[in-house]
Amino acid sequence: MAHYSRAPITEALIDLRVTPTAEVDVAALESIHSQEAERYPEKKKLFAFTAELRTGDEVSANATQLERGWALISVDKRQVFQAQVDGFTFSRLTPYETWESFRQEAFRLWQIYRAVNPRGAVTRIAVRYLNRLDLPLPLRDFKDYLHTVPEIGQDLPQSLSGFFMQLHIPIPDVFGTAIVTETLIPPSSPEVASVVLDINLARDHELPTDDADIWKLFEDLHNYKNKVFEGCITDLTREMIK
Amino acid sequence: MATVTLPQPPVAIVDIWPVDLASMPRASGPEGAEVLRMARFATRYWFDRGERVINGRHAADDFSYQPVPPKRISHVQVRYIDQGRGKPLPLTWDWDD
Repeated sequence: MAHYSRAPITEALIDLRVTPTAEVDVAALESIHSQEAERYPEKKKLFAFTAELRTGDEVSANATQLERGWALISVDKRQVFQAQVDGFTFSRLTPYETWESFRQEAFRLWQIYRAVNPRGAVTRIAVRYLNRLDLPLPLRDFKDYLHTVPEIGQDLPQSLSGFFMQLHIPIPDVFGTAIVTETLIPPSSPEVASVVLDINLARDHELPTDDADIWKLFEDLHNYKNKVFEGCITDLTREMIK
Repeated sequence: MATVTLPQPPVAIVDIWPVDLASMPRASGPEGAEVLRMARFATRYWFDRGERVINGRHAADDFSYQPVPPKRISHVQVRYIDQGRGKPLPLTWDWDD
């Protein structure tokens, strides 16, 4: 991908899902914080909430809240590291610097996580990039800025006050699926229309068992994520963010 | 032009959900929160309009309600006795209350 001086990335994530194991629980994961307390001083407990409603001869409702792990937040609040019993997520919030520095920090934290959870097999890897595009108003046509947008029939009025679109695109080249989500969000100023272009590229099969080989695959996912991004935007957008 | 293709390798599609939330890593920033809010809105919009009835065929199998069809025509037997012209009932005026 071309380097953009005003890249619209507001958050980048690297994610690995692992099979839960009996010996790794929330208490075990808390030990990570003591190692990283200097760089990631703030911690928050993460929960998974499930609710179930059964109908039949009798109606019953059941809700459970399970502790899943910890979110550790860096001093400048730009980096968030989620250590969970079933996975690892590293987020870099704006300003995004480079893929290399982002990946390097994610890998460093992964190794710390792996020391606590060495046996969980990796079942899925993903990269996710959230981009915020502030399109100047008045907007003639979304297609001036985005190739991938909702298509409205020509006989209908062409104005949109809101939309949410999610596409699941199989990407055989990386044995994965790209989930492209686009939505209008509240604008950052009255002069623009703000669109989030959210690209999630995940691979959940044909995964190697060795961690080093798994991390090499992130290069493929990242490169293909760039292709998806470039495929979604027009030259006018490139001009806007260059 | 977009078309439809099965994922590779093929996976069993158990149900159709309008938005995939579970398979994406949880974002920490405001834009991620906004995408999540809009995804929930889209999901609720979908279900509020009865699409679940169409797509939730598995849920429908578990539904044990047996509707009883209403009887369209019914007969009621009545008996009338003609007692002739009646007298008006007395009316008492009591407006003090």
